[in-house]
Amino acid sequence: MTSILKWSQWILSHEVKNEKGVWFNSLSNRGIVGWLLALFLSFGYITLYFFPEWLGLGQKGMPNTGFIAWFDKISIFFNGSVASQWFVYGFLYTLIILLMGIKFIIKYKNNNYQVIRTLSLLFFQLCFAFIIPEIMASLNQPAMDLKNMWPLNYYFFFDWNIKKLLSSGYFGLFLMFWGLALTFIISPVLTYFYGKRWYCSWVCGCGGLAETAGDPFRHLSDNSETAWKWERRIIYPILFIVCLMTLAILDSFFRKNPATYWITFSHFKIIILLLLAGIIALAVWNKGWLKGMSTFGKWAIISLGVVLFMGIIFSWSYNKPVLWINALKLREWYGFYVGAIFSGIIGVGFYPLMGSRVWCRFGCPMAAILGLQQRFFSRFRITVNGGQCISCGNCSTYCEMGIDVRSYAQKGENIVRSSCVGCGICAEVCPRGVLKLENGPLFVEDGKIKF
Amino acid sequence: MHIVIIGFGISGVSVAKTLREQSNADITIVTSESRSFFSRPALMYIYLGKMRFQDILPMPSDYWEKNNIKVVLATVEAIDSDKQQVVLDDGSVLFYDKLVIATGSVPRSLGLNEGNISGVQGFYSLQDLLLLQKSAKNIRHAAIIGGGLIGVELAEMFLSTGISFTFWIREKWFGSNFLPEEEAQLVTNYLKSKKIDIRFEREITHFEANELGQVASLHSQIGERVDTDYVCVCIGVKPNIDCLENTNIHTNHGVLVNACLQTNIPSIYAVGDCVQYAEPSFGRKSVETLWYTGKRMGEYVGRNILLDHPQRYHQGIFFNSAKFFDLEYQIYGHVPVSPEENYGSVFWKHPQKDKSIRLVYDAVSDEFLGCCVLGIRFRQEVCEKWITEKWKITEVLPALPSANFDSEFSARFEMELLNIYNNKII
Repeated sequence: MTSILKWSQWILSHEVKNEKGVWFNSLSNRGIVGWLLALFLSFGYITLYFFPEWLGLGQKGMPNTGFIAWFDKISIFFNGSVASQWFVYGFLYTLIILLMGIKFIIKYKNNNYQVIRTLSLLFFQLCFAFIIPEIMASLNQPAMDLKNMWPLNYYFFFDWNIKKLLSSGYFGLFLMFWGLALTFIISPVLTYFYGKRWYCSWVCGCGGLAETAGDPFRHLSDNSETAWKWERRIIYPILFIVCLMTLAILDSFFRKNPATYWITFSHFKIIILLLLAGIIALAVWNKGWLKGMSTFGKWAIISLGVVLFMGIIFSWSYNKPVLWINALKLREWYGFYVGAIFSGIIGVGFYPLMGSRVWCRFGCPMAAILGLQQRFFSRFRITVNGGQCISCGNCSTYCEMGIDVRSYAQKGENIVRSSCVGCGICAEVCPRGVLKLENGPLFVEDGKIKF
Repeated sequence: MHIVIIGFGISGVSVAKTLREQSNADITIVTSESRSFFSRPALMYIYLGKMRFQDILPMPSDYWEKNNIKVVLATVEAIDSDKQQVVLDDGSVLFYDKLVIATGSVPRSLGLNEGNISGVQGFYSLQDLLLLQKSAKNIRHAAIIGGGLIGVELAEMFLSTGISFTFWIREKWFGSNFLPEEEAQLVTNYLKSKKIDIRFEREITHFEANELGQVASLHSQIGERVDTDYVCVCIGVKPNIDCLENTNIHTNHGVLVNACLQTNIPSIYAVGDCVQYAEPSFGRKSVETLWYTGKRMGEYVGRNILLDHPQRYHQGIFFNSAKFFDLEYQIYGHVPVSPEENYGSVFWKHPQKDKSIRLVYDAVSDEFLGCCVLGIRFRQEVCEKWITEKWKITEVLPALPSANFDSEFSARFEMELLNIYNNKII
């Protein structure tokens, strides 16, 4: 114990340079080194996802060779079998978060919020994402990352996952309920009290990598209004498609097993229709939700909801797949374009080009849901200290989500933005101490939260 | 209606922005510095490589066009208040209905003929930054003259690029002209821990130049001579009123204005650093060269310039903040630099870290007057409330946690202050 203490004191006695010089460094100013790293990372992801044999993954039962074989012993230690490409990926991912996380902690050692937040990220990555699933697998139980929830974990409601969980006894049943509770109970409650940061910058694995390994690239996030527009144009359609895909897959699942489980196909139909009707009613009733949208946008959204509602009823009454969607095709498409290309190759590969949160900002459907909740139903906000902003722009430059924090701060307006992950770096880099992350009472008026 | 604003700093911009929110009047801004409005305190971050020029622009660059605010890059040659016109150096003439002077300030000079020696400059304008960036490569040993905020910024900049330098300060401690002694000592020790060559109680008596007219060395009043090939003079700023010399606008140290920020000519207003205010409230200076003051004045004039019966300008509760390297400093209300009989003060200093809190109150009435903090953040609204509502120090102390603005999970020190006060009155 004392040696751990001494060791950590020794680590903390080091200094890590702060943001000085990032725009002079070829690695962090989109220079040659940055581009080379981006190419290397993207290419790495492509090989890992689509050509693992290039890395030495044994084909058709043959033993691993080369790079993947280096990890065989570690894999056998954890779960008893030789390394798969996913084990190698998970191992390296965790290792990088640990190493870069320690660097991050040293850099911000004088800020307790940053230290505790990063320790939380390291803990969840190491235990929840890496060790616990390996233990589950070694006990011949379904392996699951207990913090990864739908819709980020888009295959939670896939038929093979449901079948696997429901055929694994009480443990599988526990995982099933845990997953449902995470999405529908735990996450809304925590987001209400603390904002989406409880997940995005304290727990999530993608966030974990972005906050640690991505930290040197946070200033590369585009903070223009155009970027914000594209953010909304991409992230909400992805959320929409994920919902549609889940609906279609559950539909085909129940079509094949209409009354095998205690939820039957007709239960399912009623739940979905009620849910959709509820959302449409809320959108019409709560004017705040569609505020800031053009009249055309509002009508487009509401009509889309109505068309969907009618479409679902029609497809079901003709006994066709819901909305005539080919669930299998959509699933393949989503897994390839969003799951692999967007969240992996672009999401991480483009760190040195577009900043550390490309996926979280433009793609993640989980971030979209939590963001909507944060914007309309959460006590979290960033408060501005009176009139002390000197408009220097450090906050906007170092916001990894590309929020133009300064545009609010210089008006003395509190910041309530759906994309904010609450990393707290804006408050840290502010030379006048103008910003503070807070969980206050819920009282929104004209977009400003008041005391 | 045509409003002409001379100066494109925070004061002039605040006038234009606030005015545009309430009126469609024609607005023209005249500037000789840059076509882009940038944040002056952020110039140092460009040098440090923390931000690029486009990052320190507070508003998107199309803001001016979108809001129909004309920006003219020119120098003002003459102001004719009878004909209500401004003559520019390109020969063009601007007619105005109302004129706002927001020319800001210029660095003070040492009066050692340094303007004629090359390699001696100030650090204030965009041009100064470009000059410094150009010279930086060839500097062997630099000098920073003046123990103010800009001096510390330069020290941080030189340190980050590995330029060796000497920091010449007139006072006994760093900041002893604007900080109470304990705080000045704390900041001084903090700066010393950065391994900077600081020389206190020094005044520069003269510079020596080489045959090319470039600075070669400097001498202090105690007979030191230090080889120096680059000098930054930052001993404060003074109102920039040179362009008003041949006009009938009254000036003294700055442009003289009344309680509505009007000059002696009713159609001409002045805001910001260039102003000498006629009726400063208790404890305030008549010339206040601060970003916050300029912004407040600008917003006031923007709201009132078109009114027939403008309200009086209110200075509000004084506040200021700064950062010395990583050490943050905030002040609210009235905190005297030297101890005075009729003031009481509760001062707490962290035993190891660079943190301190000082609360100042009236020794007779116990009324809370102000506070200053180092390494800790206080909430402006709360401090202002205590001061305007004349809370007693005995009411402020238990309420202290509500003023804390540090990030979550930070260590808290309110109990220490309470204990210090209790021990004091026993």
